Amino acid sequence: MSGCECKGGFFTLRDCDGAPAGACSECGRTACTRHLSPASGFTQCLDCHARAEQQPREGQNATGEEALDDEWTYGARHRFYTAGYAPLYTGSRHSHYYDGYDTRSFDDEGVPEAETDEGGAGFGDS
Amino acid sequence: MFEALKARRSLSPKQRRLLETKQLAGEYEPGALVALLKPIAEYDRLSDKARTPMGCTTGALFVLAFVLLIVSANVSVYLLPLPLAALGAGIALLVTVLKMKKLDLSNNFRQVAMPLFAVLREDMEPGATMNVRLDLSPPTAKEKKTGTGKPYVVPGYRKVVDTTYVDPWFGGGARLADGSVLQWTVTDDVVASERTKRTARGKIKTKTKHRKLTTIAVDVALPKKEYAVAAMPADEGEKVKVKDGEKRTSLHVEKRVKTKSLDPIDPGAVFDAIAEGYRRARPAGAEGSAS
Amino acid sequence: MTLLRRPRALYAAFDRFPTRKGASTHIARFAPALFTEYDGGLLYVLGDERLPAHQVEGDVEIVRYSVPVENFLERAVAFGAHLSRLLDEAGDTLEVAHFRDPWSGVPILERERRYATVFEVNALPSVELPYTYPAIAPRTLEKVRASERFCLDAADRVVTPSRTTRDFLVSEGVPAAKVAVVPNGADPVPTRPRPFEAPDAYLIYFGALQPWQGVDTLLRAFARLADLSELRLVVCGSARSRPARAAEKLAEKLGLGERVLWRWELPTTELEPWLANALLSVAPLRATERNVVQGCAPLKVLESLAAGVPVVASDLPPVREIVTDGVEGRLVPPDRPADLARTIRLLLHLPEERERMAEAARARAARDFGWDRSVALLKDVYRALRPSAAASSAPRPTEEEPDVRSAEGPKVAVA
Repeated sequence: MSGCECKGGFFTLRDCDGAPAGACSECGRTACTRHLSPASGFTQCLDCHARAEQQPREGQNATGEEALDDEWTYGARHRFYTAGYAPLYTGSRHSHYYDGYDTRSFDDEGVPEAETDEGGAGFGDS
Repeated sequence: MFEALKARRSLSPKQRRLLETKQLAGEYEPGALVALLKPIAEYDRLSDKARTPMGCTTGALFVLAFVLLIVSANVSVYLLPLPLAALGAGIALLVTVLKMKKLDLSNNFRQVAMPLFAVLREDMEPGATMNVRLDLSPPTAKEKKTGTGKPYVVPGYRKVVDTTYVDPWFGGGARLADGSVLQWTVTDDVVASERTKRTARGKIKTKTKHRKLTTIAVDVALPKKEYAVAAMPADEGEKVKVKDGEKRTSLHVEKRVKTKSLDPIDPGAVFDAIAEGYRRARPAGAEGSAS
Repeated sequence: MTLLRRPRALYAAFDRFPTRKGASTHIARFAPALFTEYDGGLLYVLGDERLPAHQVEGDVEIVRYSVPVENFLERAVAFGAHLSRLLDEAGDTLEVAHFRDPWSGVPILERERRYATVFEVNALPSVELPYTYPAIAPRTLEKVRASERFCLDAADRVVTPSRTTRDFLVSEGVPAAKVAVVPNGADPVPTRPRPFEAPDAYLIYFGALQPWQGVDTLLRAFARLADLSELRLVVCGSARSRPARAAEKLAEKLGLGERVLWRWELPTTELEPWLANALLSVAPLRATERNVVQGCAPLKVLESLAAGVPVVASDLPPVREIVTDGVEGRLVPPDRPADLARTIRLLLHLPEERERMAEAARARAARDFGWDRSVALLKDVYRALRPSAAASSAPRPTEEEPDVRSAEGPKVAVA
């Protein structure tokens, strides 16, 4: 797998595939310079950093104004998706084959968990 | 105050012109537009913050000038430069505040338009441009007035006069990276109610209250090659129309937001209107399967 | 991540390993078969905070994906992405990659490769996920199905433990010659002393308690045997998961109280005495799409035979592959507590019949279901994949059982 594994876009998602500059310490995805979060010291991808930093005033700089940089945009994206928007994914990478709409089927806490048997996958048992 | 003045001084001639005319129209690359507008937004924010204390200081200087004038008249004419200096400073400050007031931009700019540009930057191909029309003059500017109603009476008030304004302050269009074409307009219908009443002490007072109806109209034209469109009921406060074209399916979404002041709407309302179109999109070939 | 070895073989499974589950038993038997053929290799499985993420045991390197991703699908995708990175390192030296699920299969198959691939189909997520996630979106399920289809098409060989599953795959369009049946195995269980806390007379159910296992049918049947006051039911669950807790509640509701003994996560050494001393082992599998159409190879049935315990199981195609009604046990219509209760009662009254069945069970297990035999069949599959073998022959079925039914095409219609 070559290229940045992060996804660009807001209303729809697409592959980035930028030149890899490192890997996210949280999710392990390869990321380009644009998708590594400067605020995390370039150790996390923008998505993981947004997830970790979700505070009400997130994305604002020291003076209190919206910074409107990538960090802000990915934070806004995270909040927008958390509020229930499931973007369509138009990319072709197999690892990005499933989009937010798909993962939502597995979010519902009301559904009995998979036979999680000690946190494993729980399928394929004979 | 000094921060605001410094921020204004650092603006380029193009940015200053924009600040003065309060009008922006043309083709812009969203990233470049954010970069162009950010210093203006920063100045506007600092100016909003500084104006109230500056107004108070101006008032204080005039009072000080008056006091010093009386003191110098009674004590010694040689003290006369002091009230004159205070008066001069007061006048200079007043001129500055008035100028800043004149250059003040509608908060719609910082709180609605800029976030939308930042988001669209993410959804457009690098280097692609969008068409933008932005009017940042106050919604109750003379040229936006559409009429004044006849005075009427409501309980508690002697006279109420409604003035209506239409402010189509924001519009634009962009081709997004997925091939969709997005167009949007945001229009504020404002009613300024001038309400006159007599207070308990017998004084006549007039207050102006604002009501605002913001209409966000969004058209998302989805390429049929990429997307199918599923039928879905619209959310509350929204209208959605689907038009089937040869190559694209156009979704027209209209969302209305009522507020009781001139404060900007939540930028999320614009995102929601766009999302309302995309929510109906399905990957081509998978229509109806994602119920 | 840097691998310490240059593996020639990879065994990948989106399963936590080791655990007390059947899947884990399977991996413990099949992965070494692969590694002995290729002088070691890389085992890539799921882990958790208790298991080492990276370990070397002899010539086998084990990498466990242990990031606690909560969402099942995100976890599966992240597991695959991590495998992809391992393949970046190991892809050049690999000669064969064996995988158990599409989450591992897609990253293995989507890249340009020189290694041969074996897809081991025990179960398909597209069939089993709706049981655990009933609200799964049709579009998502369709995507899962498409990824399985991709794996079935792109893999060089497909192995499955059950002929029912083989027929299902063939009916789905997988060429019959590509699918090899490598049955599950069970090694003989020696006679064991009775556990000290074991009741005098008891039935046993052991294994996981997913909805398709039909433990509720067994509990309802057992409630009908209340007059046999000395009889107990022992449930040895592989994990005290949510469905397991639901089963405990049902037992309480049925007023079974102390008549049911629950044991959780017993290691094999503790489970075997319980099994070996049971009067009957019950496998009340439900007549679900998962069991009937997709098929399965219930290890609990095989292990019961190997322990010489007569089996009372649901009369379903995958069970009929293992048990012949009236020989090693009895097959009863699925999902019918009254029938199940009647059959159990009858067998309890016929000790000679049970003894005869126990003998037949041991004999059948020794004859047809030794792990050695399964491992040998699997090794045949690997050998046929070697470049020299591939040049001389196309993939050939390795299953030599008398009633191979699928050679000329699908036989099972899928609704």
